[in-house]
Amino acid sequence: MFNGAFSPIIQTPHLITKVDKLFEQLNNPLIFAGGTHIMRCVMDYPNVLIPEIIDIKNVSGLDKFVQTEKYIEIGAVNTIQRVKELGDSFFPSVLKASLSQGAPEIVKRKATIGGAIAVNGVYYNLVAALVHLGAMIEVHYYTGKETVQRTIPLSTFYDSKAPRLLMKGLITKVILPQQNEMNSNKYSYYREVGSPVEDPSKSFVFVGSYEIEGISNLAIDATVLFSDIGFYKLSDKNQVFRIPQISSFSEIKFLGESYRRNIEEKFSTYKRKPDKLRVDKCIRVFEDFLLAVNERLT
Amino acid sequence: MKVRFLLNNEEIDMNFNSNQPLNYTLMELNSKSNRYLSCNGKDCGLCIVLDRKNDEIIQSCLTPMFRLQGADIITPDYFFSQKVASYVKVAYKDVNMIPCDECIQKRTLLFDWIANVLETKTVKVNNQKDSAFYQQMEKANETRPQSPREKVQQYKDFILSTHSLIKCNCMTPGDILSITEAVLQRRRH
Repeated sequence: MFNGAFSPIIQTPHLITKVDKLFEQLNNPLIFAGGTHIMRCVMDYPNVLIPEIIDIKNVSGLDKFVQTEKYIEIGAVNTIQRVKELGDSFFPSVLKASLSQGAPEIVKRKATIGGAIAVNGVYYNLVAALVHLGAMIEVHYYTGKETVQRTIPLSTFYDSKAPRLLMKGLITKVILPQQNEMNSNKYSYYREVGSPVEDPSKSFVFVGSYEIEGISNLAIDATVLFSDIGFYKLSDKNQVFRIPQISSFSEIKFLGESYRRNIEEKFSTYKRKPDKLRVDKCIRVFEDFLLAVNERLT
Repeated sequence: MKVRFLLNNEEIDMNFNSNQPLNYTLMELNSKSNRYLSCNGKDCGLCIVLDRKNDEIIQSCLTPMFRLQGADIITPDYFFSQKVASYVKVAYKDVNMIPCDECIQKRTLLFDWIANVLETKTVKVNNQKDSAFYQQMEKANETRPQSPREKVQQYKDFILSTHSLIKCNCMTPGDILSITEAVLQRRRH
């Protein structure tokens, strides 16, 4: 209780410029927002290698929630519960589904949206929905000489082959393009397999959507995120999928197998690969998605 | 780091390791009790406490000491021993269902907190800086047509999601919903 010698110093900046300065001054600071990930890492307490903690709870501007005609800007320290409440009336259905599932209510009231993205934690279902919807993130990070600010697609951030905690960097906001879900030609599909809290290495999230373009063309988007490895996003830009094609069960099986090959190819260069059982389950979910699309079309 | 906070209505003003989890502190301060278990954040839910200042239930294993400056913490065993909890105990008798010895104190605290939230119908947010905006959003949500069935489902989801934190299998979702109903009725009386 009284081992003050190992007690880290807590920095509580109120401005983002102060956080930038702290990145330059401190060697190995730990960013603390909700703490639901950091506190569950056994090695982080008491960890003498982390002499200073930057508590970003009070940084102004990080708790904003702005909605315009083209996009929604969500500050990084907004809790998942708060985002869920604020966006209940206008968020796309896949995002609402991802916000309402996953962790228990009490945890959602502490965990922040920035933390959910920055770490490979239990909220990867939210990340899957955000990647699928084409979200961008604004990041502040220290390059070694100066602190810079960039806006990058979330898919680029997550495609670094191993989702990780940002070192000397901070996600300040999530920018989500506005979606027009009123269009009756649009359909979205969301499925979580396994428990992300209890066993992330056996679970994944699948998010799919389609839009009818013209008479027989389908624009299909499907994103699968393996929590501990990475994601695979299929965007059918070449219009491979056709309405008559997905109406036959054997064709659906064929499309499922080609989807499997794509996943295996995507993760072939990764150090860790999704195990066969998980990929099999993912193919079944993809086929289920195509069947659901088929059902709606007929 | 010097931290001053209220623990079960008693003022604590001591030096703590700044990133020490609250459940370690509770174990140290109350050495006779071994109820503040540590699952290292695996969400066993047995270390929950009530943060009365923000009216939030928090997991003490995920709360570092530096976040407790000026907080008002009530532990489940203290709450269970108080008169305030008696109506929940009566509700258990009403439906003839009692949680197991391991989780009864925690569940009692959760039932009381849920009843509070459902009764006031206002969900507190951590940060109230843009409360005007928050109220606008609440109005926008209110204008969205919501069937009574949808509303009931929303409440059920909230109750079950809150209790899902406690991994003890002594109660089924049906038991939890019946007890919550009895608790709400007792509270109204």
